Amino acid sequence: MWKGDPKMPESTPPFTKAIPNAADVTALLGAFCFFLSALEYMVPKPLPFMRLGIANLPILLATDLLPLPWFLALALVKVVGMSVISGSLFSYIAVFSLAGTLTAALTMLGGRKLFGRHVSAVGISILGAMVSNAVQIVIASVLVFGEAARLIAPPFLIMGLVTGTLLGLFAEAFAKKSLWYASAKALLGKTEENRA
Amino acid sequence: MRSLNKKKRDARRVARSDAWESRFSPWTLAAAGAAVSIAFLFQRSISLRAIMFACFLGAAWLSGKKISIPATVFVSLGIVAANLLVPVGKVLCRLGPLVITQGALEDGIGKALVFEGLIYISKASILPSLKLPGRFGALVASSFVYYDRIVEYKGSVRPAHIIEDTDALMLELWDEALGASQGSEKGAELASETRSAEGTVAAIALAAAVVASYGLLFIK
Repeated sequence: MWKGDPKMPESTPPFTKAIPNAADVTALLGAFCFFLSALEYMVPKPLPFMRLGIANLPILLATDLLPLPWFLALALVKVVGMSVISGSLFSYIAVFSLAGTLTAALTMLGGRKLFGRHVSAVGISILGAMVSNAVQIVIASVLVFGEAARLIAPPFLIMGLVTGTLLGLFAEAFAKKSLWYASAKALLGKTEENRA
Repeated sequence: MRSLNKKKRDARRVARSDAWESRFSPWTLAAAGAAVSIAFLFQRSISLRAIMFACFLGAAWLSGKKISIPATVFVSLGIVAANLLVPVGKVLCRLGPLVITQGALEDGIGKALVFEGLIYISKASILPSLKLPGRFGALVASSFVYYDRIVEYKGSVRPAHIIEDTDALMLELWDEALGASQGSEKGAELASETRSAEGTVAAIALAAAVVASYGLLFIK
């Protein structure tokens, strides 16, 4: 059910009190990003910007869910919100976060649009993680490490490969089983149809 | 005993945080932080950078933000070590195969100070109550409301049932979507009410910090 599968779970969608819209879905996924970022914050890492990338999971799920403007808004909400929570808005961390998140988001969305059903969520996730980590290594070489950044490149890229694979597997399974995901997809699809 | 000490430390940190937030309005503090950060980036002298770094560290401590000196030292040493791998300038000494050069050492220390200094000035000047303007600001505020609900979520997310439990969490939040939108508006109103205008002393202190940071650029 990852891409373009209209199959809906049999149970009734739970939005009986009010009908959420794309803004609600974006805000909810943004909150999910904050939560995963907070979890990631607890994992010890050798450098503050070397992140596992699990907070990109909602963005990966959003590639098939949100229209482009809301998708980009979600990426920015993640970066700005996390920078405000952690108080790193004026630091290099925010530069790494902005570059990493935006490149991952645009690469995953581009990959999804370009390859469609021919590439699974795992492939899209790995693509996003590798490009994002590569961009962060380039920024690290300019701002912090100089030429020595090539030394952190191999472990950083391997880490991206592993976490990208795991996130992709989770996203694939979640998209197949989640009632929420199916409900949101159906609702946003209808909203887009109405607009058209 | 150790946990008691930790609780006391945390309580003192929260008290500092409350005092800091009551003194400054989020936007004024953020603007001052941004201005000082720019001056810090343009500062070429390593010794003046080190002085500014110490001030930022002190401000971050006063603001009640969590500070980890071991992590700061560890990351700084990593940055310096990475820069030492590429020799630049006069050779100071040799440690086995590693040649320590003056240019690389200064470059590494300078970069480490900037990297860590910006983190601390950012910690001190960005308050969690900073409300961004416009539709995008409303979207971020709405996400924060959902985030609070995730943190307060009473159900559990078990590793063995992570997909089902995550789905249950999303469904519960989804069901409250309209309430959350209203909540974000209320939250924003509440935040603006509780936000006190900064006192004259606090405003003067911020202005002085900005002027001093730019003044340091003219010291040779």
